[in-house]
Amino acid sequence: MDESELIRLAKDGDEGAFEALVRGRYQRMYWIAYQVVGNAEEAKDVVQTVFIRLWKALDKYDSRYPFSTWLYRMVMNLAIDHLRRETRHRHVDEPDDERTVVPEAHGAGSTPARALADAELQAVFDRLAAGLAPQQRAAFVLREVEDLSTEEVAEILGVTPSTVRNHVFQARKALQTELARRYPEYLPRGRKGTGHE
Amino acid sequence: MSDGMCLSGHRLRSYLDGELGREEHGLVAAHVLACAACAEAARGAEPTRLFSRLSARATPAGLWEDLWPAVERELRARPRPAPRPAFLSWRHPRLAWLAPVAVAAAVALISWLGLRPAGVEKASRPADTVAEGFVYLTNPDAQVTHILMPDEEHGAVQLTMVVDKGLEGAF
Repeated sequence: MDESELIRLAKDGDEGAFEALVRGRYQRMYWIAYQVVGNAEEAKDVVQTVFIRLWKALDKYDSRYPFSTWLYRMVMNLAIDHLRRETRHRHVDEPDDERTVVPEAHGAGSTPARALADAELQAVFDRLAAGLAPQQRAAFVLREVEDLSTEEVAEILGVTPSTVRNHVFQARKALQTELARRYPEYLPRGRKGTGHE
Repeated sequence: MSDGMCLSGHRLRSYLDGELGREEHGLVAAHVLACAACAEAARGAEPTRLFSRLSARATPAGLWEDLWPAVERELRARPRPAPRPAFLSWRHPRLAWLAPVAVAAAVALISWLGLRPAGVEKASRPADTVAEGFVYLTNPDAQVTHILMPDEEHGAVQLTMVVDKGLEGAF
């Protein structure tokens, strides 16, 4: 059954169709949320909340626009809200390094070595990205990690493509600086920090 | 650093985003190799190379089973309101003509009532709510009052409907 049919049935109250609709996208929803909030439990909260809001708001979906853009926009808005709240608390409570909770067990097709390397890289990203502004982090995640086009990212974040490019550029610059300072082993030889970065 | 020949931020971003044409990409790449300042700026691409690997990560095992049961309970607790059958909707193509016809019929009826006030019982005026000069038409058994109000500007008659207190909760 195609997506538009699932949406139509879900709008009519068909829970099975709704489950099929979100089951096809929950993994990406989770990772987008995770990369922005930097915490597995909060990412799950975001996804669950989006599911419930989506159920209530399906009538408002305008089929002239891609469903995925609308869905990821809900995910991103909630994730950014979570991040802002969390950032405010974190400044008071604890350093960011101590709160990083990297998702553990991985699904099929992932070797233990690969899973470990991924988990380490994820932890590095979580720590470095904690220093980015929420919009910069969101733009970087959607554009560079999720590989969406600049125009798609602009739609999701509700900004212009030019603003997206600027956020991504600034995020790259900040991540590069912090990478060189804190994790130079992740940079190729000859590209390590020079101390003035 | 800047000798006036450095790449603009926009051009460098387009280069890093792979948005330049093949020829221009080659020119910019050659410049980045030769210009220390632009090479430094272009190194900002390193986080992209590194962290784009995160997109290929496997999802944590049992994620769906973690997520769905709570959502399912919530959905059951709040079922979607049953949609109106399409054939009852004004937006249904076969019924779209009914809306303007209904409006026209209502206007005709009101005009007819307005021209024949003697055919309708004149209601007592709710003095605390309405100004002088209005005509109230009501059926003693009805729970809706029609107010015919002369429109000074256009010389037309404007209709307002006032629901009796007993019915307010229904709207």
